[in-house]
Amino acid sequence: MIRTKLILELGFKRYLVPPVKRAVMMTGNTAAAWAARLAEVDYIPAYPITPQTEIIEKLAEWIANGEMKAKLTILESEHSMLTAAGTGALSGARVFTATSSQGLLYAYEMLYNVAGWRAPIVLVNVSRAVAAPITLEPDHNDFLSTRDSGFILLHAETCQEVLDLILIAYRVSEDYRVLLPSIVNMDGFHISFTREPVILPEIEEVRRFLPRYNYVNPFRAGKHSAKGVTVLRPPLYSFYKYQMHFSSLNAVKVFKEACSEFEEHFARRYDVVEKYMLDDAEYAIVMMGSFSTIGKKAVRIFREEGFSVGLLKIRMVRPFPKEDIREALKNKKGVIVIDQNISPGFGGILYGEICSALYGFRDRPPLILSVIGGVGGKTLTIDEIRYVFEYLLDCERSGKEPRPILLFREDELEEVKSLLKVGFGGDVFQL
Amino acid sequence: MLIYARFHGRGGHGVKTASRILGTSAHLEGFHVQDFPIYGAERRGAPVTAFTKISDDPLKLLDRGYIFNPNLVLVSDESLLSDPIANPLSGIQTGGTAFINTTKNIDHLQIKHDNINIVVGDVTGLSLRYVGRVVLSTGIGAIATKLTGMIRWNSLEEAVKEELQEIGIKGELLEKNILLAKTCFELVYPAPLPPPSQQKKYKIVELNWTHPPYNIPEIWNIGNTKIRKTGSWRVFKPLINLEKCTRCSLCVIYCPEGVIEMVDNSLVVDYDNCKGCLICFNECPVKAISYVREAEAV
Repeated sequence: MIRTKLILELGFKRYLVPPVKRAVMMTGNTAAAWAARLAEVDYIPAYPITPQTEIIEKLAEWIANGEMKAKLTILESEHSMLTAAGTGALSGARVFTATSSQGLLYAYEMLYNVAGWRAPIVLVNVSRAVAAPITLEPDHNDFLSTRDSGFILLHAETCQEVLDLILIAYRVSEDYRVLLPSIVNMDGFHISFTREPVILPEIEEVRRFLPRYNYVNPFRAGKHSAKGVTVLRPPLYSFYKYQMHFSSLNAVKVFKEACSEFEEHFARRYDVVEKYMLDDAEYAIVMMGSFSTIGKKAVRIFREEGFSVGLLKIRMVRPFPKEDIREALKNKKGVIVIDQNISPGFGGILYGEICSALYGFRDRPPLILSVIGGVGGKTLTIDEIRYVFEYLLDCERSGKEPRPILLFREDELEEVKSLLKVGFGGDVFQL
Repeated sequence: MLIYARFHGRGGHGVKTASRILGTSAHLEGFHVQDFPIYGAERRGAPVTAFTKISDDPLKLLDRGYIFNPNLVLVSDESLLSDPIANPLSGIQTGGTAFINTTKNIDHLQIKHDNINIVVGDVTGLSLRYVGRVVLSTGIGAIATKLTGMIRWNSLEEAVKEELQEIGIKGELLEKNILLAKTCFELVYPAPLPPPSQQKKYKIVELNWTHPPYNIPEIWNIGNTKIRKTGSWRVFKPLINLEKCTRCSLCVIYCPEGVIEMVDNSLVVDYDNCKGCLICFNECPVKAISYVREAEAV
């Protein structure tokens, strides 16, 4: 019943706003490849891994048939791939690369190096849960493991957002006030292999928004300079690390500037966070990534049932947009943070970050509930969001302290039981 | 009672072991001790610093890391006195003591610090005489131990055995080292070591974002290694006898620093950068290369 209503409403909206440019059906991976093509990148060091491979395949295909002019090299590992990406950017090339999960972790050492070199590359990470146990489906542990590396971290919810955020990421990374690399994250399968209509910007318009990359003092044959130098004195190390921090903080402002220019060029509006029916809401759900769409659906349903609830989507994870989050969650009666990740022994990573942003804020919400869901690609349903929302209301009424919730459904437990039965050859346990 | 001893040397001198010999002998004497070395790239000749902290009260040793206000400094190579990075006498306590390993007289050393006690001695010469090679760890360690005035010979002997066996020295070589330690121990007298106090008050500053390229770890002023004369840490100076030399150029090829050059059918050594490794001396097929101790070379 409710479902039909939603579809009708969406359909109605489509006629209200007639499309200016023809949208094309494409996957998140293809959208990422298009962004690299439109940004006219010079160099793509690559290494294939599921579910990112399609990005590299698409770019290789365009380069092979002459539609795109760039140098694509397959390296022997993600570690080498990221090293090549960083050094490429220092030589003045605009560099694009992509990886996922295990590949990102294999390149981990170089994440800190590339950020420390201040090489403004854009890396697309297609989220996939990290082994062990090994899987192909997504959660955000791979992406969030890069939190402290110095990269600018952006998270896309839709295929359109993947394309747009990559273009904006180049603007932010290459800005002299920032000069730090970016990761644009999308969820494996739920975005990477999901087709949606995507508006492809005109190349001329992209060139006006994103001018040629012009790096300060690039590596040049015969020209003396040393980059990524050794420091043997601790104060010098601290100095450069503090400078990385200040430059990262600058990225909030630079991102907002880039977004307002982006809107002038392409008529699509972005910010460090997205507020969905939030301003007048009494309760807020905080999420990030592709499952935010499910969160939005829940918000619409709860609104129809008379609950005053909205959603806050975190688009920028580093720098952490503390002020925007404070403003968005100001005076809310209660907040639910749904983490699609798990830090064993702590809980939800985003929950901790949101709490630290709100601590000491006079108008902070009195109740913050930590929820973990969607780990390893486990689906998230409206019933689960309803369950945690009702639990929040119950805590508010009774005044009891909310305990963290690790979502798991009865049907999923039955599935686990039957799989374990196969694994152990009979009923050998009680759950 | 609190002793803050700081050892300055070059990679390969044995400064770390010297500081451990002092540390272990003080420990065996029943004191509370902490020692540690700090170095950058591990290569022979690079400046190395080591620290030993000794007290009769563990509460006075609530401390970690560098010593900025030593009351005892040991310099294993006089060339470090003018090295701006090592800067061995910086922060030394007024009335404190510095030992300098040199063949020179005190008056010939350029020391800008007033109100400190300077002790000099040729530990390099003694180690050549007793051990047959340049091993400064035992000699400097023994001198430091005696200068404290708190440690007896028995504890030092035990410490030398313990520390040298740890790095694989045993048998006759160990005996020679103990003889060297005994000689050095008897060479000097306990020195005045006023308790260290923090002389400088530190001010905290607030950092802000700095404009590129100054906020990026890179260097534009390339070629500044030329300023650093790596020849200053040489102990032995190679000399080429051009009359015996056949111009085979093997020394040019073997020199790891690339400081031997053939110019107009003659061989020229860049002594500003020759570290005195003596590989050329070992490789010369006609024995046209000899060496002298740097201190006697002049």
